[in-house]
Amino acid sequence: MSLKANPRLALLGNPNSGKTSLFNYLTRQHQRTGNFTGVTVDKKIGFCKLNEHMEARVIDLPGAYSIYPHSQDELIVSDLLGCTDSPDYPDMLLVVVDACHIKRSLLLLTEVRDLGFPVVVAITKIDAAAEQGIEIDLTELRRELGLQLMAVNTLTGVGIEDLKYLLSNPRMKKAEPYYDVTELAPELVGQMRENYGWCSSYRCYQMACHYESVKWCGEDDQEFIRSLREECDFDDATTQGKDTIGRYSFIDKVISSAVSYHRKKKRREQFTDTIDRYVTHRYWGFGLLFALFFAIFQSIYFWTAIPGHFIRQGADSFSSYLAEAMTPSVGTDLLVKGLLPAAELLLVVMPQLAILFLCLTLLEESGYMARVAFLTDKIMRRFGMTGKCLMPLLSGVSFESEEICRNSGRRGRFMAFLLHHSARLPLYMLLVALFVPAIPILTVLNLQGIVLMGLYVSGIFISIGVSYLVRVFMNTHGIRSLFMMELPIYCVPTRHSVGAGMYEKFRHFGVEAGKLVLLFLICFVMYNALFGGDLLPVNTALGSKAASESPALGNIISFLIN
Amino acid sequence: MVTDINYKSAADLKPGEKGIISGFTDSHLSLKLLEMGCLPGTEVQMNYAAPLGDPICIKVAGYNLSLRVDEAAIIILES
Repeated sequence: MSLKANPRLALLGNPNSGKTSLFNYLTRQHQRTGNFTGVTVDKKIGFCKLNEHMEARVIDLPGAYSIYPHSQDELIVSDLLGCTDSPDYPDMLLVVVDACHIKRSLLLLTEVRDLGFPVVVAITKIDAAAEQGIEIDLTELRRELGLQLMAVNTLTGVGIEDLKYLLSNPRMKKAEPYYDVTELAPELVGQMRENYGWCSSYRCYQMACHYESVKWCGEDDQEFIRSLREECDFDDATTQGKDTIGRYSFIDKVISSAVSYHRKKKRREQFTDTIDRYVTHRYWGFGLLFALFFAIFQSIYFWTAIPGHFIRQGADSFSSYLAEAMTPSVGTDLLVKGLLPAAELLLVVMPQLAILFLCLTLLEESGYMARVAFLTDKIMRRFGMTGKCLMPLLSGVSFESEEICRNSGRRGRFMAFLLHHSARLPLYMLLVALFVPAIPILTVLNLQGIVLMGLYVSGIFISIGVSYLVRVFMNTHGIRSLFMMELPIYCVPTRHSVGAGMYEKFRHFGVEAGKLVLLFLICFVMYNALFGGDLLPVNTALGSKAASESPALGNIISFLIN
Repeated sequence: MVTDINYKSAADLKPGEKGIISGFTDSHLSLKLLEMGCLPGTEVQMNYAAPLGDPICIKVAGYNLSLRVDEAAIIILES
């Protein structure tokens, strides 16, 4: 294979290995997010200039521990790597290896290398590993693996330019596999190779393992592989175990010569254990979760009280100026009583949304969300889900069942809408800004915060309930999801990661909720313009004036206030 | 695979207690555990359980892994 000017590069790595930070760094200004061909989950694609002549198309794949798919995320990875006809089939791979968990990270690396891809390795978190007493001899590691490899730091940018150089000059040389699976099933691998002409024995073997779940396989291929497996008496459960153990023994050899462990007092680990004692405490665990979200919803209104005040005053004086300056007509009514309050409403809600997104991103980046999954797994299990399903619901991004629904016809799309918590969230905020007065409760608490949290929590319950019904009635079978997950060490979120997380949420908001919000605002404008404009945000001067003038709404408000 | 019923599993550990992995009772589930670094011969330490008693958090291969009790029950420990 010769070098292309626009190679397709897939970014692979364990969950939480710093893969997304590297993706964000590489593709800084050139991100384009969109739906992936044929795959349901939102996939990120970006562009990275390697040198003057080359620009790589980078695909950020979901985190995976192995190419044996055990989850929906891992299925995406094995699908992409298996499907040679796909327009997104990568020309080469950039594998992210987390220095703190080098052993586990190397497993995925050896697997994809043995599939026959040109591989470049980026080692992340090397400083954190040194702090924990893990020292990696990069020259030795490079020699043992026989791969191009570079330590990178996505905070300082150290190593990134060298990494780009390596990516623009990938080594295409064929090499012996690290672990040869031919011995596990010689007949099967031989037959597969003969039929499909792949030179990598690991690819032959992997395809024979996943012929049922991988999209690449047509009916004929499935039939061929099924009969071949019967003929060779092939049982993938045992060979997969042997494969993984065989790879780990190779990795042990690499690690014994390239990595040295010094026992050190691990401060950060101890810190994490101490915090976890409170966070997962028998009685306080759930209390803390509740308190944290309660505080977030309160702070949304606390921090936006002052800018909100100025926005309201500005809109107020502007509208009275307009009302005086313009002659009364239908157009003026539409502007002053319809469009202006709508714009004001949006302006009031945007900073609130920003604060909510900031808080949620901080929770995600610090590692707390994984603990939420840990706490709630037993409850979620009743509904046929895992605690992990709750994480996207809490952060206000779409989740697995929703994606499944969206891909299963018109009825499915309707269900997806009901499940669609992320799109409803801004709507809740608009409703709260519109109808709930900002009155203090017990002097420090805010009614708006309490109402919004109530809506948010009940929205999550609705989504869970609908998702449960979907599973029962629509019989959607995915891969059986296991709960097993890492509880990462707590860390202070970096500016970059928070920025990227917030960007992602706002983008999601724009794409998913934008239409709903627009529809809402149009209804709002129409109502006000047509029915004399008595539906105004209760917290504005205009609103309270309208409330005192319009008896019906005024009664509700005075009822709420008293 | 060990078929003895009287084995001790990772789900039987008390908080703070340690054990060495000797094998698994379920070949399908064990794959994922192997990938996560739970190899035979590795030391596991029970850290703590979630407030509702399930899932649990164990320390293995230098990191904290959370898994359900029935997932931990397939890990056989050396006696």
